[in-house]
Amino acid sequence: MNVIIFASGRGSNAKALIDGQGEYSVKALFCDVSDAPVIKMAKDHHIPVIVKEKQKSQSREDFDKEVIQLIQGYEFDLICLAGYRKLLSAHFINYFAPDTIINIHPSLLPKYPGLTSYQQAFDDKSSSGITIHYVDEGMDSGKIIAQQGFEFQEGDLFEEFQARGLAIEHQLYPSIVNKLSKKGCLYRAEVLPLSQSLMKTPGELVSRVYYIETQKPWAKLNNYAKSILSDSVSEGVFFKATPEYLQLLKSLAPDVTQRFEVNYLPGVTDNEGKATLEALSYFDETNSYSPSIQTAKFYRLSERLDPESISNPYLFHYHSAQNDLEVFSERSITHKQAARPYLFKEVDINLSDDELLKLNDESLWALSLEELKICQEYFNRLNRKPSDVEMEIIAQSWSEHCKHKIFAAQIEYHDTETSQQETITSLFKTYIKGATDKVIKDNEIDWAVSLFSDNAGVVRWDKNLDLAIKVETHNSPSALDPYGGAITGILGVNRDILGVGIGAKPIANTDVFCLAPHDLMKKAQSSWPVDAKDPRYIRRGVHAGVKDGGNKSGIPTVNGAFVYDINYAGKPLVYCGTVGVLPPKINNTPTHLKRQRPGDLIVMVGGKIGKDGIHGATFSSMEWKEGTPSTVVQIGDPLTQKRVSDFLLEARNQELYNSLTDNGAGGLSSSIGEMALDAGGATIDVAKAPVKYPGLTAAELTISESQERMSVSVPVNCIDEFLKLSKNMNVESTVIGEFVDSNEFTVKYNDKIVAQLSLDFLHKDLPPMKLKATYDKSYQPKDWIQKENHLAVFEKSYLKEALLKLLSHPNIRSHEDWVRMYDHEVQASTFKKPFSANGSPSDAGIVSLTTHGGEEGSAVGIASGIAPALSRYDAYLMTQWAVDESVRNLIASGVDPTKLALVDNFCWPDPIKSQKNPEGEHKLAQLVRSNKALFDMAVAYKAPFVSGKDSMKNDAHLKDIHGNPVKISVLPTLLVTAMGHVKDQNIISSYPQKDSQFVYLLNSKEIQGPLTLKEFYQIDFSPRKVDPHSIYQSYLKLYDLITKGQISFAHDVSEGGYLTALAEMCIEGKVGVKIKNTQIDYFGEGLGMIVFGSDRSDLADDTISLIGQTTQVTGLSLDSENIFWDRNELASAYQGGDR
Amino acid sequence: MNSKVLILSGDGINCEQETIQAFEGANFTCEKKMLSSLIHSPELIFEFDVIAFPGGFSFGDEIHSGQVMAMALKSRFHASLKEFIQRKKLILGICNGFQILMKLGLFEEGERKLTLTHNDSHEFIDQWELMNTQESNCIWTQGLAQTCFMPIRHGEGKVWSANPQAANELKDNKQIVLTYQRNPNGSLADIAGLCDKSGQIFGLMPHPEAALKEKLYPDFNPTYLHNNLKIFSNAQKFLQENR
Repeated sequence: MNVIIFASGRGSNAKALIDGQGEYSVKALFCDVSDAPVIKMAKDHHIPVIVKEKQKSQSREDFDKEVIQLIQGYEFDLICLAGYRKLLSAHFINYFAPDTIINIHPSLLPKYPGLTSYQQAFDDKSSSGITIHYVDEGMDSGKIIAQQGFEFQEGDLFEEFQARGLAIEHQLYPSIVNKLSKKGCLYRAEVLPLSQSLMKTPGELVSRVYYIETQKPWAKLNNYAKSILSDSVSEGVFFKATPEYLQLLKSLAPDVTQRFEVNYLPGVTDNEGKATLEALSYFDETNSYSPSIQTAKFYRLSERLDPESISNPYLFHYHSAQNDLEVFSERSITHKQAARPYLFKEVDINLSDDELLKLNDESLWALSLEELKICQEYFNRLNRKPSDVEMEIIAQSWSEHCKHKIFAAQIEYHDTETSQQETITSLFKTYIKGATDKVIKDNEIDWAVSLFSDNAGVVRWDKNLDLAIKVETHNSPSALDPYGGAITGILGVNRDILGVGIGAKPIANTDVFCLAPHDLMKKAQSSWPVDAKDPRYIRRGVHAGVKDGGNKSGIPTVNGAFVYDINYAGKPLVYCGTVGVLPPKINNTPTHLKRQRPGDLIVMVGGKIGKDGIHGATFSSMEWKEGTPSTVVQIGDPLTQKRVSDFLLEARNQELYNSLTDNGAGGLSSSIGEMALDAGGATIDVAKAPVKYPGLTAAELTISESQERMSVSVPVNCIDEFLKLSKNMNVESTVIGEFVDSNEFTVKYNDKIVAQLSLDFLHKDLPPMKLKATYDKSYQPKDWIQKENHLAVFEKSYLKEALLKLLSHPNIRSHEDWVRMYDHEVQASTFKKPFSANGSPSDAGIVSLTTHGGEEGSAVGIASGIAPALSRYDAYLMTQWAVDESVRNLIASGVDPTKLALVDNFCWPDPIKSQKNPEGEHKLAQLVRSNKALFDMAVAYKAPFVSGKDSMKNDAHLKDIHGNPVKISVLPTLLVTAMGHVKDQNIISSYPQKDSQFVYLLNSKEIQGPLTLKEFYQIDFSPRKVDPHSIYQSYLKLYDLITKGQISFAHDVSEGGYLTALAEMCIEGKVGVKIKNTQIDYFGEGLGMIVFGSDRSDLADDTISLIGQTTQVTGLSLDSENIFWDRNELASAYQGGDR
Repeated sequence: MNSKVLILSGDGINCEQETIQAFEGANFTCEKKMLSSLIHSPELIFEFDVIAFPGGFSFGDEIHSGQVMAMALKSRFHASLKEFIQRKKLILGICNGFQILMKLGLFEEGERKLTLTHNDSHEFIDQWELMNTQESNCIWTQGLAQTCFMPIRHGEGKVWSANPQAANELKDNKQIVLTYQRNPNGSLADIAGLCDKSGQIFGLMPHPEAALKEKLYPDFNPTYLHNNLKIFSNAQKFLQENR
């Protein structure tokens, strides 16, 4: 530590400080008296001296300002006053960090302050002492650091008395400074905007707080704080409650009724803290303080609010403050320094069935009894007990999340309507893979490169480019913390793409949220479950998570949806998808193959390991109960991931590694466990893995799902290059093991083996579950809360208001204001954006591939289809609607119907019958029927499935305020994501831009009825099964017209029927549409319908109906009914919003 | 010899690829460099004719957009940037790049009075904006037609100053380059883009590099495309003339 001394006189204490240098060194001495003896003393000791006398006319503050200028160039961390006779101004004291100016005073303060302390004590014949204290604005009034007393002895001369004191002074001062130089300090800095005009909401002041912990005092911290922690133009940084601070607060937030600070729990990712620390590290001088930083937010609100609505207890804790003076006084941060309870331990699984199941429950393994018995048998055969690490690895690898046991189950399916009985050996093999195999074979498809075997599906898109696609769900984490759940969802699926083959580059994201209506909590009143979060909070959180994840990674979010239903109040569904590009070959080697081999080093790349995300894979395979462990919740770090992504793509192009995969569910246990299978074995040493904090057990290190990590297989001869590039690109990479040919997965901690499992056992085919499914046509999923049901019978006179009501229905209304917070055009390739300039919605996102290395004029359309409302009738129908919608959206955008690829994502309520779940057999039957429909649709649309995922326990078991159980199960929900090839010249507008064009409706005969209108009026709706083949033929026909350049615009008809679709198109407001007299149900919904426009008047035939014309007058008119909807009227209904 | 552009990349910057393509379209040769290599050898910049700070989320936008990158650069080579301009070279900052230049104080002399801060809505927004080209010293926009059309994609694009004279000073110094026709974020004097006094440093919130293809435009209507191409060719022209 460096010290500057301030002195005015003889300088005996200054000399003592100079003589006592050890842990500290004196870098300069300042003196305000030009002939003071201390100057010569210091010079004799080769200490630089600064001398400046205060001019009479000068104010104390002006003088101090000058002094600050003069000393600024010297290195010092602590200012020691040693007989400095001036009182320091508030300006001087507040200029330096708190507790970095100290003084020595010859009395036991608060006794005898001032200049004549010895004399006063002597006169009182009182024993006295020495005080070392921090300096504040008062006279000798600062916080005391140390005191040491001495006696007044009878008969003392003053000189004797004083000498006794001085001796202590000269010994105490250096010894205290030595101590301080090793004393850690904690500073709290709060940043405030300088003007009310910079605040988001009047009456809500949210300030940033930085806790800076250092290993020694840091007087000049303020300098860095001002330029780094704040925008010096618009903000102020405060280290204590100075008058300026209080004044500013008063002007910013005059009516504060509530104050609280929200801090991260120990170990939770604090991205701002990390970035701030990095900023500091660029200044060499800062490194000697070894700073660490934690950020917090301080809320001052004029209206009272429950802090937990801001401070999710899974991630944060908060504490309230009564007033603004108090906020700096309580400075503390908690560290996660729990001692490791054990490194690993043996687990006794030779237990009775009941005990075994109890252990299984407590350990969150989520294994079945049968699986537990397989483990029992395996370890008994080995004649040893398993370690906890081994059981955890098995639990991860065999989890529903990783193994998809329900899709692999043997199902006895019984249809009570037709009395049909059948045995299905595996839903996946029979229907999903079955459909894909058939489509590929029947249509001689040669572009399916890698399906179902890797992190994502890979298809050859044109001769220069392969595309990879994957869609994931992150429902359970999003129920606990919507922001963290969604951001880790989107970053996770990005890593799937980064980890497919030898690595693809993400070029587009999609997101679909299934949520409870925003006002449901209010409406439900006392039936609202206590632990369920306000739907508005969930929506804000999941949206912000996807926004930050996508935007900060530089991946455009090009397509998505918000879907509302009351049954998403327990678990929201959060679907995140990503499309990536990879060259088909690098240096003549195909890129879709993984090539890890024995001898390759295993390198962990990216983030550090913490306790976060432990048991994510097994938790997502369980229903949500009270008491769910908080470690499954975590926050993502998009910056680290972006760096990892930049680095790995560069390393891939330089051919520095053989293979890679992401660390998602199950952490290292899954990623290395899977890679080991192809390589023939792997050994890792988890002691080598970098950790966020000490104290993790071997099992935690092995299964932690801490984010932003990839596992990479690097040949020995490339390792130096690989690590060097990693370092240059600011990415942490650590060799943690190697691939071997032992046919075992071995985990060590230093030299200790903590797990050793044969790969045959770990990846064995588990005996399929045997399940029963019973389809009863009359069965309907139960809503957890009753809807209001006093609706008027629909009649024609309601036509005008009906359209406006539909346009503001949550599932139809525009979410443009939310969607525009996503960057949907970074990478400058988004040829079709989610909304037009004035707010007409698009059907598909279209991304040009030319800029990504694809052929000239080659692009990809991405769209989604989802129709959970139909699950109230039959999951077969729901699936038909969902598949068709995804494809229809593509067709309406100009995509080629002969090159389509599909991705299925099932989110189901628990389909296994149990005491808690008596309806399991019905739900499983719905799953079977959904699969049957998927097969039929894929075959009809000649579209293979290239990837897919299922999430099977979307139930929440909660309680209302009276303690009554509330079970909320999601509607059986299937998201279909469709990707299709499109040529630039075929991309068409989704709204009309020219008048006097003819407007047509495709497939009006497919109308099934007014599904959405039914929510506002009493009206009949009974859906039916359709023949998709004729719809596909109509798509081919429309595409043919598009390629001939005869179609000017097209828009998909979905919720609300074609009148709603036309209204959406009219919102752009370039031209209007006039509907001619048609007999077609205005609000009817169904499959295959697309509204499109053309200059040609003669396109009508058996599948195409002429329904109107575009007009110069904007808005929508229905002359036969004498109704006209003004453009603005439509827009205000559609864009009304609901925040 | 082709003029060379240093494209700052890495650490969360994410528009480097389209920025490279924009410069290559105007016959520049581009090379990506990361902060880590620049801070070790600041003199590297003198091998280039242009330094481009692309858009993105450098350091995750933590603290403030562009803040950490600006501080990191400031710690090592603030002076070299000034010298770079004295040597008649050019600097472009788009979006996050503009925020970085602003926080480096490159549009002002002496103590900073200007900043870019949160949009009035305090939300990120992605939409296309019509802008007016102002008469300014900016090398990059000489001869541009009156109207520009580009997407904005930012959360902190509002020019702000506590100084009531700030707008007038910028106007008098001919530093205001682009103004929004319909102010989307509350920016001082509708400012979308600024230059320094020399006109060689240009910073703007909208993304010209994302508006260089017909199909990228709303309505697929490329009326204003030529203007955006000219920004990059202007740079080439200036460098040829000042060789």
